Amino acid sequence: MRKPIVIFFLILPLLGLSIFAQHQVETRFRFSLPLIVEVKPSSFIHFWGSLLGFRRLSSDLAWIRLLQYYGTLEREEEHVHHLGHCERGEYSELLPRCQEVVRLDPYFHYAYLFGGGCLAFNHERYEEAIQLLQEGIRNDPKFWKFRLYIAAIVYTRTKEYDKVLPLLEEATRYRDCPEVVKVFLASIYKAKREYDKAIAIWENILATSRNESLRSMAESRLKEMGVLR
Amino acid sequence: MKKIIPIIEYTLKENIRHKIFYTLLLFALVIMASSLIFSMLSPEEETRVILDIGLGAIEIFAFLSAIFAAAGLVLGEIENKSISLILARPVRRYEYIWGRYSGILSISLCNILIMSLGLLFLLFVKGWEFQFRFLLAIGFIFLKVVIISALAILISLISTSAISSISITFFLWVVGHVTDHLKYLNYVLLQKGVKITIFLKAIYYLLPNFQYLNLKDYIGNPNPLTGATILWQVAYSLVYASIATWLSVLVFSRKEF
Amino acid sequence: MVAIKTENLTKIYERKYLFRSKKTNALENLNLEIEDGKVFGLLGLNGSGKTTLLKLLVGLLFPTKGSIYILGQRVPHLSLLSRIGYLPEFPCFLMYLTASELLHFYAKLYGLSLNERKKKVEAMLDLVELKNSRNDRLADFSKGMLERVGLAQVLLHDPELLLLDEPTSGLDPLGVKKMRQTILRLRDEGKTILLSSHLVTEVERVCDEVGILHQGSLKKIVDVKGWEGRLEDIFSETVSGEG
Repeated sequence: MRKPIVIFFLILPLLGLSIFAQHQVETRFRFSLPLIVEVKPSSFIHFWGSLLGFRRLSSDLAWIRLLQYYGTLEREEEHVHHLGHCERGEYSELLPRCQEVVRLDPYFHYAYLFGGGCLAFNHERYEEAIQLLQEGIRNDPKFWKFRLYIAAIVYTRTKEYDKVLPLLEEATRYRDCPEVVKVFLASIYKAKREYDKAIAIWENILATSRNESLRSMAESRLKEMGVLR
Repeated sequence: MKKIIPIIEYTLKENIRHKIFYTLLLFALVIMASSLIFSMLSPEEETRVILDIGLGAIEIFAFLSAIFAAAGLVLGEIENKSISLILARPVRRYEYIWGRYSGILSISLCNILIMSLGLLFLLFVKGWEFQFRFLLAIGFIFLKVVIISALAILISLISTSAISSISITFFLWVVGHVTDHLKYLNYVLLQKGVKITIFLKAIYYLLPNFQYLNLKDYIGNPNPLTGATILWQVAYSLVYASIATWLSVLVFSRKEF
Repeated sequence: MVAIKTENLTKIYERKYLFRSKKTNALENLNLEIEDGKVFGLLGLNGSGKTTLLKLLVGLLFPTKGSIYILGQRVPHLSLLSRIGYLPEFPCFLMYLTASELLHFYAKLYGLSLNERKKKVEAMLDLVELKNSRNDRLADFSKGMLERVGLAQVLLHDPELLLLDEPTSGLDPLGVKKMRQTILRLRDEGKTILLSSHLVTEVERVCDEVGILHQGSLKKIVDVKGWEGRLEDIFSETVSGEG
């Protein structure tokens, strides 16, 4: 029985070292994610994904579901509103779905920008958009684009388009700018009769967008402006 | 110690010649390829979806192949008594366990490397910009496998069947990802006047903590990961795994065949 | 010199259930001495403790009480295993390996160098007539071929002591004859062989001494000069309690 006793006395200090190492990791690890009780996952898959260490993947699945939700027409007639922009539904679940995506992965920056952009520029739901982007600032205060988008939304709400323009122009310079923002900027240019700039944006969307419906929208806008036949 | 190397060699051969090894690897590569279809649903974040599905597939299949090797093959060898002809030779019990464990880790590492290369190929085709954290995420997946393989061997030596062994190992895998919720549980219980903090702390430190090794969920996190943190994470994984392996040696040294 | 010596060797199997345990006395106060250079046969009915004794000698089981000495050293002793060859009754090999790979693997466990391994593995494959099947996986081998692999692995490292558990079990008549001839040849080379069997006729033909094991106890030891062709009668009388 000597050997087992030796092994037992080897394991005890290792256990102490393991506890010490874990404590060291805990104090240094600055990557906390919201607890599952805070995320309140809406589906079984998201719940299990979070449990099994697939938070980002669950966030991606929630994101795809969000896109499918937002890409589905809720009504047949278009509702034309602000700056000639039109949308085809209320999409009342847009904010909660965006929140689920970003609570599963608080660093999914594009989801904040996309959600904020859609809520503000497509549906004039400025408070919801700002709420979403402020959640982004709380989770990742270093990502300055949240503040840029909030500023653009605030000025849009007060219809101060001269102040909105430079902010959105800056946003569109970056690769992670959602196309909804480009579309909104093009709408502002068109409203201000700066057709060349609007055409440039639509041409860019037609050439680079991977979204079929956006490309057809760009094509129809360009035809309206007489650029395409 | 020299006896460990032939045991590693035969563990590698055993896994490579087993159909399940190829099946799992093939499945992983198929799922990665299918991520191209999923990514089309999210045109703006295509590479992100491919990356996340790819890393998820790598982790799942590395985990499955590790527990199959540890629980299925080690236990199988004990059940069919082929282990008798190994232990009837001048091989120390600890050499057998460490040799098997090292062999399982070697095959897991091969699996992970093959799958990572497949994923990198897909990502580069889609114009992804390389991030060093990707390599860290892969490395940390391997560290998780290091821990779970050691636990799987221990459990396979204690349990009576492959199914119970695999089930318990899977349970530990799940629990290891939610140990950070124990703190929240403690907070809630304290609010209700239930004081079991020491008990919960003991469980917290005894159970494997995979959340700190789950770097694939933190790839987008802008906070830097310092060298010291990485070193302590590696140290924790290696120490925890060696505890489980030495416990396996303890159990195995008293086993009769 | 005494090759094997046991002193009050006892083995009790204990099977634990939820609220009870069941104990089985497999061996009880076994005192046995086997001199080197002899072929010692362990004769007994099924369940008499033959396999248990062999497993205790090789360290696969641990004694409940008593002690074992092999080649002058107390068991367990790792270096002894290099001097012992063990063939279980139903050997299970690593079936995904080829015959050559298996023997190389076992040879590595003995710490043999590459050249030594190559020579010995080739010699063993030649001895058991499996040279042409060296690169075939064991999973594709017939029963007879697997038995021959068993013989090859037990002789691979040229052990001083051989422990054979029912060596003729499952062999065809030609295989039985070959096994018998091998045992006698090994005896002539000076090796000590302890073989267990429940076949009196086979034991009679190869053994110098026979121990009759019954219900875990060594009832009688008979020398080859002592049984005078009546080993079967002696065995029957012993196990039925008349001897």
